[in-house]
Amino acid sequence: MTPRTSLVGKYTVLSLVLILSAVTGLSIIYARFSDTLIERLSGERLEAQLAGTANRVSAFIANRIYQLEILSSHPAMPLYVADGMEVPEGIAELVRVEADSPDLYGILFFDGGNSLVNLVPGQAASGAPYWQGDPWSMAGLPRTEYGRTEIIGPHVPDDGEPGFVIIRQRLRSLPGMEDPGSVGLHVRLAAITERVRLEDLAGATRTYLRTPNGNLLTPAGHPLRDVPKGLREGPEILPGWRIDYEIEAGHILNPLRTAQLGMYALAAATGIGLVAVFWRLARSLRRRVDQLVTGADALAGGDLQYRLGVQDQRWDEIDVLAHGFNSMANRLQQMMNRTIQSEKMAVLGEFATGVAHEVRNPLGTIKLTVQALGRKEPDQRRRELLNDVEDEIDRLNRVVSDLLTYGRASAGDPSCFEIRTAFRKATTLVEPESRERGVDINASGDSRLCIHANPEQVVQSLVNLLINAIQASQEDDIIRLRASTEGAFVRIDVTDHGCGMEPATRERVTDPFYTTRADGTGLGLSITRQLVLLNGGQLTLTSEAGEGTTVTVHLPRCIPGEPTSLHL
Amino acid sequence: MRRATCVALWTAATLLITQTPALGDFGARVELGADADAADGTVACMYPMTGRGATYGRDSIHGIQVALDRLAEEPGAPRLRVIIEDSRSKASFAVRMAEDFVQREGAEILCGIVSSGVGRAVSQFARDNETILVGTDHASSRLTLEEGHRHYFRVSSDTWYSHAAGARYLQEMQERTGWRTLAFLGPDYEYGRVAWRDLRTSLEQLGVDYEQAGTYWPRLYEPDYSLYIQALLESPPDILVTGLWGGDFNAFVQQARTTRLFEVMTVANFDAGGNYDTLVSFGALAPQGLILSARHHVNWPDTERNRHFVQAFHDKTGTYPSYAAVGAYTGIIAIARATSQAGTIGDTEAMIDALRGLELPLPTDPPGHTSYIDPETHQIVQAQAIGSPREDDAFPPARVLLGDWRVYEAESLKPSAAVLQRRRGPTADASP
Repeated sequence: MTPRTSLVGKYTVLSLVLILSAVTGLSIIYARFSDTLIERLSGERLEAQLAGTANRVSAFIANRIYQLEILSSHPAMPLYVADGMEVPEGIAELVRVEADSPDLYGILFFDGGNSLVNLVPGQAASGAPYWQGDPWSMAGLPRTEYGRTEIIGPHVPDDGEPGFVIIRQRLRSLPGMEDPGSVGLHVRLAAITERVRLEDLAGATRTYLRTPNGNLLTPAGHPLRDVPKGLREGPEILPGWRIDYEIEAGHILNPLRTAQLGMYALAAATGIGLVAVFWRLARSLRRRVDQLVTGADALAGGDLQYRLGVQDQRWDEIDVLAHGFNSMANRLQQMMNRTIQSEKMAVLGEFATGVAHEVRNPLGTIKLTVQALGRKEPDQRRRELLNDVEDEIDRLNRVVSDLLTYGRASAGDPSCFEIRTAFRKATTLVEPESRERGVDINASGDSRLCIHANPEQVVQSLVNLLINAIQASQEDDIIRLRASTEGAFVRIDVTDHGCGMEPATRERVTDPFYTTRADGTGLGLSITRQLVLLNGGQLTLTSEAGEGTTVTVHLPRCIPGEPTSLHL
Repeated sequence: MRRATCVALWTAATLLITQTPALGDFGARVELGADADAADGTVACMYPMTGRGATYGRDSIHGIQVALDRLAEEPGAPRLRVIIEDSRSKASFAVRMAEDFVQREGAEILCGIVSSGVGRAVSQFARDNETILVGTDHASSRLTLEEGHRHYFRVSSDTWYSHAAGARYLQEMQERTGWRTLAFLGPDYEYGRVAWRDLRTSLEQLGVDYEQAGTYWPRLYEPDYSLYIQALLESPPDILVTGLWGGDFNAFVQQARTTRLFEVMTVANFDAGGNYDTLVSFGALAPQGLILSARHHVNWPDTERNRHFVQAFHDKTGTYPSYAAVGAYTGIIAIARATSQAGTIGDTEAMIDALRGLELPLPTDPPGHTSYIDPETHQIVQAQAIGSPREDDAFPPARVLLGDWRVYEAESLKPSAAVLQRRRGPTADASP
């Protein structure tokens, strides 16, 4: 059997195809889903959000520049820079109000040489240059020109202190003042970086502020040490200032990818497992089918004894088939045995009838002649010899009668009758012989049980069995005749405690003409079994040498007045 | 012209609101205590009455009322007139307000101020105008150390004391747990920056070995801390010390408790985190692992004086006091005691002499200690207690209160001479 023709092989291939189809389908769905997800995370919505973020940052800087315009163009502002000049209280108050913002450390005033000469603390004022003694310098900070505004910085967070940016403009010149200096807003760096944050609930897109000195700042204002892989350039806010971003969909897609790999692994494991299971199944199935084929071949070859081994614990389809095979073989064997037996009986019956006809008439003539001779014979000794001849003629007649009974056996008309009737008749008939042998017969059991059979044949069968039992018993032995119910049958046990039988004898004891007695015909038990079978019953025999013998007869049970079939 | 308009508006507001207001319903200006004609002196206080700091202003005014009630019961105590106005947490506003208090209202003493940034600006005004400022709430230690001056006094614990105690707590905790990394999250202004410096200095002095895992500087009154919470979760430290206070801290906790933040790090707030209103905001269950303290606790110390103050405050307001109330209470009591010693509130030099070293038995004093104003720094010297939230409904509506206290004696927390020298510079005088 090749895999192509094997049913198991076909199932295996079909299952693998189904698994592969399912995995392929799921992979396609996953790929489309993840593509859609990435597209949603990074598609046009992202561009709109980035543009919005850039607008937020730009607007913040634009507002600061507008604030700076007011200060830088105010004619009194140079007073903050000029040596020895007092700033009027109204002006000072204006500047204090301008500085009073949570995003401003303060307002710084520089002279023409870019030296910090004056400052007004803002709401967030802390650290240098507001705290005297703390070093502060703008040296080395990148400078970006944006119109007439100069963006200085950023000064990135350092030693745990926050970063800052200075947005500065030149002051309006006063008459007689060559370079009035400049005014700068000292802005929290975090005020800018916080606005770089993208409103991305999924958290897949990370934005950074790219500064002119190459720093990449997180929204919390911290410089990033390592540039992330896949960093993309975003919109520019100012020359050199840009919002860069990365799409880090890993934490969303990773679980999906893990699930996908898990699915592949599971599918592969399932496929391998499936092949392994089907392979084992195929081997087992083939072995067991081979047994079936062997059994069928054996049966076909005439070996009616061949039976398949079936384990009782399992009851799968092959076992059912094997049981069916064995059942079929049993029935076939029974049918063959019955056919053979029928044929044997038919041949034997024809033979016996022929023999009886040919023997019985001459025997009658001989007997009449012997009787006539006996009556006229004066010699006592010769008369005794003639009597012996007559006895032998009677014995030959009995043999011939048995042969006729055996050969012409047929079921009599059945009726439903109480078993105790048969018991009583049989024991009465054998009473002379039992008394002669000093053996007691004890009938027991439910005497009201009724059997459906021919009453005479039942009585004859019981008589045969009782005679066998009497002849096997010793003086004072008891023969037990017992009736009981067993399913749809009445069970009749005839038990003696005589010499019993060896197994070899027991096997053949029901065969016709087999006998262990010198004066036996070997037909009694054969006829009994035949009569029991003719009445729909069965006869079985158990015997132990030296222990005794029990012959068990099963006959259909019935209830008077009711159809017999109801009780079968 | 602009100044004239402003003054006119100021005067109009003063005329409109001159009566003691109903509790919890303060306007832009409140006057408490004696009438102007009968008063021995005028104290002008500035507190926020709007915005996130409004609860501090409200409790401060109640604290002043409790102090005035107590003084009223004492025969011979000076009769003080207390003017309170809304500083709006803005330095420009407060400086202008202080100027008018002194010049227009005749205030002899300035007091109050919650924000350290505002306090710093007004302190500079007080220095320039030689007017005494008694700080009751703002806590930047720079105001008594680097920028301390003769006319500035503070009667509530500052960032130095709270973070010196915090550093001791962290040192002891490191011996128990072996924590290694520490991050700081504080408002980006005077108070937050100084708190961080004070903590670092104290940890350094104690020789605590740790790794700095980041500093985060949201602005004052930041409405959304998700950005910083996310950054902390991405690189979580063992310990997060935060200098957020009031509504800022409450907002941070409410946002952070929706994340894993409290599971992955221990959060400590040594200066303001244990405030009563914060404990109320926790509800039935505080986030796990919090280490908190404040400048006053309703349940510590368990002294008659503290119980009396807390009960008096409750009787007056129907609620329990935040630490701002004790600061304001202490400020008025200190001014009254100094006035009694100086003879007149108008003698600024005598008042300064009286305030320096002034001993003040206060609700915040544990048995065996009496608060006093350090003559060197003009900073009140008080013990610090740090604890953890636990279920306790003794002061409703709070359902958790601090417990498991670690108490640090006041004297052990004072800045050393070396610290004073370093903070004030080599040429600075020993006293302001």
